[in-house]
Amino acid sequence: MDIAQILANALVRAAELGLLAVGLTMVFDILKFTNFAHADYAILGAFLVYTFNCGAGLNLFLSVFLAAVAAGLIAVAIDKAIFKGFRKKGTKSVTAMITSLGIAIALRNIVRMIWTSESRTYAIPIQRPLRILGARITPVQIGILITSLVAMIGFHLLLQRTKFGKALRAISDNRVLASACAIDSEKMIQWMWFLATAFGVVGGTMIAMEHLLYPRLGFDILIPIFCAAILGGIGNPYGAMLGALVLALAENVILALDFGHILSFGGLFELGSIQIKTGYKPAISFVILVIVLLLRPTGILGRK
Amino acid sequence: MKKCLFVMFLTVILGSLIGMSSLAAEQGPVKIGVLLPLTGTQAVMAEDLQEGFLIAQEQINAAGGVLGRRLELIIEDTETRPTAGMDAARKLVELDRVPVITGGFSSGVMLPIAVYCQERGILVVSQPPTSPLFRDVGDYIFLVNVLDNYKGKVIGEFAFKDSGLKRFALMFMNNAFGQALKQETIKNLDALGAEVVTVVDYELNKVDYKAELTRLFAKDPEAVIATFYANEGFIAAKQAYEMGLLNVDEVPWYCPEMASSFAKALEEIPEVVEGIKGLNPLAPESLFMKAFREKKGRDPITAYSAMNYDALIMIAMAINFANSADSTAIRDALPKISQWYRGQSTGGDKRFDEDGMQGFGQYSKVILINGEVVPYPE
Amino acid sequence: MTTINFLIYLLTMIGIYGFLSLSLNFQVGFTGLINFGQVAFFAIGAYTSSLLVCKAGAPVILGFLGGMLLSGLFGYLISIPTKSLKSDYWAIATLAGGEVIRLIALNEGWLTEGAFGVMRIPQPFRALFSMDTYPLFYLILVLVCLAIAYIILSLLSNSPFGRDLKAIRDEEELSLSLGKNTRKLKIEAMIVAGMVAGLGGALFAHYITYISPENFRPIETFLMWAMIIVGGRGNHLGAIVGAVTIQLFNVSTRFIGAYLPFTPGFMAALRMVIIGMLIVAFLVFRPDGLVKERKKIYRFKNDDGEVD
Repeated sequence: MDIAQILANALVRAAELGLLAVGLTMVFDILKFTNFAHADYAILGAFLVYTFNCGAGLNLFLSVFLAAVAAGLIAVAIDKAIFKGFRKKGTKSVTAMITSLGIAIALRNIVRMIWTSESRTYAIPIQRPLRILGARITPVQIGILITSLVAMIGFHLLLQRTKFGKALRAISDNRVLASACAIDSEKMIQWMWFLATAFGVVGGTMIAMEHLLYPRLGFDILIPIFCAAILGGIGNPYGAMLGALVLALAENVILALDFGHILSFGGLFELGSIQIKTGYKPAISFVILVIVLLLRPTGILGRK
Repeated sequence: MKKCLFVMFLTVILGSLIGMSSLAAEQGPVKIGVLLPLTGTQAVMAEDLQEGFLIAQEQINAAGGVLGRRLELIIEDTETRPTAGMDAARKLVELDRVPVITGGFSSGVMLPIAVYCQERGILVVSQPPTSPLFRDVGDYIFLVNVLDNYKGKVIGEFAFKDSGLKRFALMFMNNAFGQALKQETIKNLDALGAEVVTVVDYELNKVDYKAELTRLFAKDPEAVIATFYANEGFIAAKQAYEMGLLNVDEVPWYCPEMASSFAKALEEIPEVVEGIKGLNPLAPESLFMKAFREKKGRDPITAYSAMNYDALIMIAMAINFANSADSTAIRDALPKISQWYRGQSTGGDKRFDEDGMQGFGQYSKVILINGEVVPYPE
Repeated sequence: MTTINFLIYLLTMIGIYGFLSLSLNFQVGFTGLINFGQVAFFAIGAYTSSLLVCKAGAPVILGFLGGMLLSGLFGYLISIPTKSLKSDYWAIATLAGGEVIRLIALNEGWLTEGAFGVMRIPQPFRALFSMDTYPLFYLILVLVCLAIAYIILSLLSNSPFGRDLKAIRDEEELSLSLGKNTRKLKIEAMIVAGMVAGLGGALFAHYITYISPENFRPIETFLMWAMIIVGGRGNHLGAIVGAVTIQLFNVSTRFIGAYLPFTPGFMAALRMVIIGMLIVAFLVFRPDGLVKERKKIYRFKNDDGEVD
């Protein structure tokens, strides 16, 4: 088992999932419902990046910026059309959650109507991996790690050091009280949707860049994102980052573990190799999720 | 409001039911039912699969159609969902009254449909589902792709003899196709005296196969046998390369379905899959490939579109030969047609065996060089 | 004749989905539990019954009972954590749980035939009928079972038990404070719901005669959700109306498509867009669905917390 390589793989996956999990957790933090459409907003954005970058020939960074803005605005528009009414009426959060499921199904298929089901790649040539501390890692992956890190730090500063962040936290704690303190909570909520989705688009684009872009991608990454967000304690952005890392490590390590070797005290006595069937890999995130939910419903870090 | 909606739905469905059944006139076009996974997990390949039928249809109609009538395709979506596939098949058989259903993609969707069609005496000429379970369904079921047990034997022998190595690691997708192929490959490797050190089953439609690849190489195999669909093949090849695991000079890779596994990879990252050896069901410079390229400006992603082409051409020939568009008559003509027909897939030999399966298909041995699939010199 | 065959098939499938939406509706509408893993009941019912019959050689009726029992047991198991989990978390956990059930069916080939699926599942009383009359018999079987399930669920929801369940859904804190054992009630509701959906699964398996893990992807759960939202949560008639509506919509798009100038791929995507938008539109504009829940005592708040 090549520990350095497994660690590197896990870090990259955590960087990709983390940005998406943070956005998911933000929506939950403020609006108290789980947004099933989060990953699909992100993939819509990733397709916009594709069109701007490979279709219109814009610079990649500019494309990501434009797509993040566009997808953010779409998320705000959807909020205005649907969720705002729910907030006014005081509709239960589960209703909003089911609605987001409907939005997810609709969005995913609108993407298919526009871009077809064909899978796409951004025009980035294959790269020779560099060797860093014994692990192979490509320049794109390093770029993903750096982008994710910068975005997270920016996010931290935004939440902790700005008026906006304070207002957001106030709304999260008590929306009524915040309004009483002259915070325009509707406007804040719109900004929050915008930011959460923009972060998601960056994350979604990175996943598509590292792997492949197709309309169903949103659904394929949904459960790992939920898992990361819940692992860290939903509503807690730092938890979401930590959750993504734990999940990524678990996925990479558990398949590599030889339980036979461990049970026999490192080969002390004869015991065949016992490994988890690779067919169960998608179940790893589910099972971790269920175990965490059962043992520690507030996640690793807990909520605030 | 609710009544209004309800009445609307009922009118729509009943109206179309009546409309459909009155259309089944004798002198109209000959209708063939086509099932395709247009939505759902396999939708990625649907466009190519459909193109195989459309090209065949154009050529048939340009050559005068069947029985002097136009050949019409009624294309239905299986949504890659068995229940939706069954809806589609029932609609084709019971309302459109097609004598033949062709297409289909995954065994999970096509098996219940095959059982149903057999019961109703409707001919099924299906393509990729290559699960051996199809053999026993009945005499109305024909496959235009070679069964997995045949493929498993060939790839096992090829990999063993070509490499001269003993320790193999296997990676197959976790569906009926991959699992049947895996079982046969293991059986044949065992018989040859090779050792299978690792078996990896992977779930389709995931974006990260690094953990699976780590596992694949955990026990230092001397050679790898792996098969994919286009998307998974691209991701797995890219990730294996980036992790330093794809180095065919040290550990050769063999693939039983070259065209479908690495089509996307060949297009995007040809240098990565350079030197992978395997089997190819496509005749590389066929009429079909030429027609496809002219129409789409690119090569088909998988060999399956050529198989669909073969399926429809054979059906049309059988209809003309039987001089009837009746299921049973076409069924009786089909084996004879398959003796004569020179196909565009599986080496051109499309002969059905006594169970309607492809027992004789030839797979050409190929190697990936400079982004091209080229014949492998033995 | 064949048109009638198609209608019989359509009605049979509507009936089978009727079990699933009735069951889901019972959970959501009557206990407020959000189950995104409903397809697991379907899978357990279908697999248990077919394996008991095909592998253990049990008579079909035992298979049906076994499917119901195991599915009810699963309902019991997944209802345990509702004690400590918020409904959002529980919903996500059930989504994961449903996928785990499918993965077990896929990976434990010694038991479930894995990816190949279970073939040649025997049909009950098949020998007594001809090929043309059997579908009609099966339709009647499904409808009779559905009617029984419908009546039992109706009786349950009008009993003190049902009223307590609705009280949980509307005001859990309040019912707790009234000394109701909400936990026990939820568990009982999940067991009942599991059994109903399990029977639907068993009926499905013996009707289609072939099942594989492909049958039990999360998309099925989402369709069931569309059914109960369109039909109307909180009442049994709504669940059935929803099953009819969504199934008919799904099939009708196959006919309308022929008259529209779109490619089949585009049509297929359009169909799912409409399903998604239906869910959204109903929740926004008509949260009660097509059939509104009749409320006798709850005059102050409906389930979305609006003032009536």
